Amino acid sequence: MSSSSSSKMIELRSSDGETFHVEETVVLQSETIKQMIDDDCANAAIPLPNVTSMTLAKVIEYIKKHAEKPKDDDDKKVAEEDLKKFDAEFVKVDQESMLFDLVRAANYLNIKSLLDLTCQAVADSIKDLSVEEVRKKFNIQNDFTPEEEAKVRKENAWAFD
Amino acid sequence: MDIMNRLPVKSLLLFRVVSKQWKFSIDSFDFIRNYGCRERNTCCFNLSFRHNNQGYIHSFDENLTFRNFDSNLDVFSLKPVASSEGVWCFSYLQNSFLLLWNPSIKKSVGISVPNYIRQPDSPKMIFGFGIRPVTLEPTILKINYPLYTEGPWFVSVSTLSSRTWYNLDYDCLPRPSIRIKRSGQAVIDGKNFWIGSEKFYNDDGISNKIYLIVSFDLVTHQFHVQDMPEQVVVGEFSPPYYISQLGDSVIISGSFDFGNFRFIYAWALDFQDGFISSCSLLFNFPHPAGHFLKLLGFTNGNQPIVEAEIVQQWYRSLQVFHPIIEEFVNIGVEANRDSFFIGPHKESLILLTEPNYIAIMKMVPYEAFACRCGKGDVVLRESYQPNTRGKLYYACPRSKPKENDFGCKFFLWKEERVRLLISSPGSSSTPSYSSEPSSPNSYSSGTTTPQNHHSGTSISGGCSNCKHLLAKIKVLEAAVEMHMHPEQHTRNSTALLHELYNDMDNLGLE
Repeated sequence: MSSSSSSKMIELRSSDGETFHVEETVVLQSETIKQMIDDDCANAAIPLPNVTSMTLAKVIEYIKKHAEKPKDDDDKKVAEEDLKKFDAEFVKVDQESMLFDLVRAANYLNIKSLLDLTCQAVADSIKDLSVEEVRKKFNIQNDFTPEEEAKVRKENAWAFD
Repeated sequence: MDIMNRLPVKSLLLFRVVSKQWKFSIDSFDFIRNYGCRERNTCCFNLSFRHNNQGYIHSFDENLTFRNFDSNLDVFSLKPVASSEGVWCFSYLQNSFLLLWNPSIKKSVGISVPNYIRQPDSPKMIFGFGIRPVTLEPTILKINYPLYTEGPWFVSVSTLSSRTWYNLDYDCLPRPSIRIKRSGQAVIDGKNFWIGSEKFYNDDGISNKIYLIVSFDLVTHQFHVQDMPEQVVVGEFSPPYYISQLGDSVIISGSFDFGNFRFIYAWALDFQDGFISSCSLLFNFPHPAGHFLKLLGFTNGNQPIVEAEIVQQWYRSLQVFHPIIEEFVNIGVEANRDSFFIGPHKESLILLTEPNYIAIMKMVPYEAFACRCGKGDVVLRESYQPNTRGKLYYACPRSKPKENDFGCKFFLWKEERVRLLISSPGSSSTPSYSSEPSSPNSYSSGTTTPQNHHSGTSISGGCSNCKHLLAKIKVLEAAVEMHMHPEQHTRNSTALLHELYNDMDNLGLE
């Protein structure tokens, strides 16, 4: 990238101590970091105690891709298509825990488009699950008595068919 | 919550069972409000209509293929008032009840309509309905004014959460000379719109009608009257205008006669802060003179959907404009006159936390008999109580208690009647009904029906007329079942009465 030298670099430090150097223009997609820069708190490395290096690497991959500016209108269309493909691939992570880490990181860093993308991906992955599968997945204890559960089920019996 | 908010409503209904915390979160006012109302591609709009003595609801997808909507509603007895944000409002039982229905969660809620003595309960009772913006509060209006004379409006407003009706102040209302057309309303941006009219008499006593746009603000509860834009005229004609909506525009339409041809015209009215900001011709399509088209709504591709009245055809058909052949095409649904109603499908959790209303009972019109308590026909209904679901029973239509009236107590399970038939002399067996012993019939009737509808036996006290009637019904039923199919059943047939009395003689009932 030719322009990278001209832009100011921001240093981010993940929870496990690894540091990342990202251009300021790219990192401004994070409202949280933007606020820090505006408040002049970004002179040293910005510590991100809630984000691991693995997650942060993914987040940076995302914001870098989304910072690319198309040159003209023709390019814009291609770029939009390309970005869609990228987003679709981006949320296809091997481990589901990674997706949740990304949701948490996007929430903490306040990157709206990434939050939308990852939340939608999680929603899509659970929308067709059964109640039991959801409990298992989120490790939720069923605190309904059998009678209570039957009653709640009956309220929308058709949805359980 | 960001994740939950992105789930389809069906998953959310399912996941209420996951844990108390999940149910609490999904049922919360904030979650329901933030969830809002969403369009979904799989279903574009719902259509209700009546065909002969049956009511139907179909849901249509973007290819205009439709399937029956399993609603549990007795669609025939329900009259659509309006649909707003995917939620429907129906009136039923001669305007004494309203039913709100959210098809996306299959939830319906009933509201009883008050009768104030100082309000003229003329047939010109008009209901308005809309979902208030932001709070998503279902809001209902009841409008009364004198039918034949000029006179003031009486308007009561109720919201679902308050469940009380209050009367609007006089200065919130339109002029007493204004009347509105109740056949349709649009709900856009927190406002209800109707086509209004006002009659003027010139010096020769000839009346002249002008058309208006009447709106009601669901937030401020104020009426507002505006002139119909000048553009909405074709020559000298002033046909019946119809109102519908497309996106954020109010659509005014009419069918105009040009000799060999008719044209259907539609204008789009846009509003800013409640005032008409622009008016433009949306389309004018010619169609054969023998057709009368009434605009009902639009497909997701913005093509008009009309109810077509065709000369010498008994039923109305549903037609959709085909942009390539530039004609209205019949899509294969027939209905009784003026019974089509279209509501765009939207997913929302509105009504989720309301108790499902028990009065959504199917009335079977063929098997109705006059109740001797004098208040109407005894009707066969289907129970929707969980423990007696699907069982049929007879009841007086006025079984609901009202002011100064505890309702008629007549009640009979159909299967008990069948048992009685089988054991009674001279009647043929009726194998079509299972005569399983009626387990303790715990027909509990919720909030609006009296407790003594519980009936281990077939009668539970109440008016003596009905007791008497009960015996007669049994015989009459037997007569009907033995001698004719229900479809051919005419209520006042003298032959039937003759047979009834013969049978009663045989049974020594009277």
